[in-house]
Amino acid sequence: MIEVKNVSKEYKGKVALSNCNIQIPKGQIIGLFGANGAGKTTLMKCIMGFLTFEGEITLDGEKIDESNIAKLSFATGDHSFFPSITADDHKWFYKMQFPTFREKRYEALMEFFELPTKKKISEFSLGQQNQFEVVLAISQGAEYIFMDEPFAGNDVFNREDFYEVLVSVLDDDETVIISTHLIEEIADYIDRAILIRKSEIIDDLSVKEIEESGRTLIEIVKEKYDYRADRIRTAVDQMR
Amino acid sequence: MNKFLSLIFLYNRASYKKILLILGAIPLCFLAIFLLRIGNPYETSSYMLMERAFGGVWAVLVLIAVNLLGLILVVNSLNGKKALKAAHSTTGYTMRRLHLSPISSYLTIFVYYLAMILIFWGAAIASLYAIGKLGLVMTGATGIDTKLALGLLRTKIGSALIPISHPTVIAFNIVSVLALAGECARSCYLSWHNGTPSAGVVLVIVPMFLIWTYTPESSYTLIAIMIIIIYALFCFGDVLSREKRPKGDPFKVNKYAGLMDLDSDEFDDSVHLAVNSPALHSDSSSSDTSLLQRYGRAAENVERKGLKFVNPGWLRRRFMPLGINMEKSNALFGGCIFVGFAGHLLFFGRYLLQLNVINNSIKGITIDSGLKMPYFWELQQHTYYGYIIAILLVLFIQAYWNYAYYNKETKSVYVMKRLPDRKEYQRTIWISPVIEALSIAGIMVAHTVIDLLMYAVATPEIALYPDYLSHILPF
Repeated sequence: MIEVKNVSKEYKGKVALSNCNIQIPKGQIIGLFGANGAGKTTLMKCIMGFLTFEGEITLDGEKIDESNIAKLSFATGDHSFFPSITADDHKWFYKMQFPTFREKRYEALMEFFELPTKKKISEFSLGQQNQFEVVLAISQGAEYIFMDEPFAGNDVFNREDFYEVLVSVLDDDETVIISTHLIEEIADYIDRAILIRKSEIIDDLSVKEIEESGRTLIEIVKEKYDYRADRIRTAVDQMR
Repeated sequence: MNKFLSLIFLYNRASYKKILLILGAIPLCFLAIFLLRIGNPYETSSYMLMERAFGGVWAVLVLIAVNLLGLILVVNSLNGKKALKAAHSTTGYTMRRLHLSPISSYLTIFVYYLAMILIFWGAAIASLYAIGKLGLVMTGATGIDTKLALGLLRTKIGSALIPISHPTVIAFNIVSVLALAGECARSCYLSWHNGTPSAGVVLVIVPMFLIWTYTPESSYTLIAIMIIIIYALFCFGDVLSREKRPKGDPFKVNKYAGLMDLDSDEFDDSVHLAVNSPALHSDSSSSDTSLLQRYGRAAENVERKGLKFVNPGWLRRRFMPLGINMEKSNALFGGCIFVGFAGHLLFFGRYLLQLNVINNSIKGITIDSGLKMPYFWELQQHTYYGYIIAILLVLFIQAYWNYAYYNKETKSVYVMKRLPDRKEYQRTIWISPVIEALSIAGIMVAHTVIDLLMYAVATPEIALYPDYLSHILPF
């Protein structure tokens, strides 16, 4: 289990995360939702150890360091691969660096998404690059897979395919934490939703709680974010 | 006119602060050196007065360094990674809307750079004059007028920088500045074309540095002029030839698939490249070789078991970041070796000059009394600066490039920092530059040994000091 305790982060005096507390057990698909700049990416980066922070983050009760970092993987819309080498080369690199690399899963996903294996990643389309980024993260053999807006640029069919594959391919003890703005699309696939607003975690809902509320996830999110549907109409009227 | 200004502003965005910084740094550096070196100029000869008023030879070196740094900074600010990235995504499209031909945009940038370089030079000359005059006033030389302050520019090194007395250096500086502006414009042009930015700026700046620093004989300056002219013509021809290459050539499509080529009137739509055609499969020939082999990782364990032979080339490649532009690294490495080697040639110049004097003085088995070949270390003095600069350059620039590759060019830092072997990230940043620096140090040692052998073998025994072997090192 990953435990985030009282984690705060500031960028040059600007608060990016404020006293965050969450627990991420094994075997869940968790949606991390929030507006741009809310702190989703910062939270993920703090957990991965890319950023310094105040507070404590542990994995199975231990501090995250080189001894257990391989239990975490990360797919980001910024793309963490090496653009000028081929997919095959990435496979070899991951195999060499991560003892738990799941080659069979990698091969199957590459085949499913029809990704070329002998072509430089920089020559992939944006959609293919996103897919490859996710394939690497899922195949690393990590217990916790973090995804930060991994589908920016992919078409809707592509994304649907991915969600289906994701829920099918994951083992019971594998956890996915996915940050995305595509709330409605992903709502059917997640077990839990964490809402972040202005650097604070404002809600943490299980699927059961969402169902019991009698509303959809997007309705809850809009309410939590004080979304005003009449805002557009008012603005348009003013412009006229 | 607006089109051309727009073009310049597009290239020049976000760089003005750096340019102003450098313009400000030129007089400040001079002032700092001057204040450190100031003495009483009236206790020395008039030549020394001028030197001291300048802040000494070190001030001139700082001037050169700051000037060159400024030029490089201008180039980098316009062709740096950020600008390059933007050129691919945004600037290229905006350029096309300006309806300027590639050649006219190249020439516009050329004129712009020329103006920038001349501004830098003007700032340097103004600094020399201002500091020189300030120096004379500060040392109590009342009544020193503008003429004398301007006369300070006529010192030996000053005349190399500001050519008012030596026709060869005037020609060299004109050619260099034109070639430098051409190279800067070519670098913009290439990056705009999605190609590799030109490294030729270094090829012009290094001769400028060497000529300015050593102010060698006119014959060498003439050779440098010829080389720079030929290179500049070759580069301009390269720009022209790129515009005349056959369109739709499958072997060129991938290499120069830049935004400029997307123009409807430039792109031949009748030529299509199949998605999986061999042209796209640049790595297909090596499909059976894994990254472990191609990037020097494969033999790691084998080598560790029986370390019979350490191959520096293999080691260097092993510790380079995966997929980094090796051509660029090789160019830096080669350039640094060249700088060290060229700087050390000063020894040969001194030695051959002295040897010539000695050979002319030998009559039979006698030699003019008192004429001796100076001690080895005396001839070697100051010839290591090139190597020292090269070692520092290769160490820090390559390390920065490695860091920037992980953090700026790509975001592979997110993988590298997640590796169970966390030292791999630091290793792949620092070890290859250290290997390169050690290699240059090795070349320096080998070069010195060759110098020594030449000194010991080629010098007539009669001209050698009996204890010359005890003066090989400075201690």
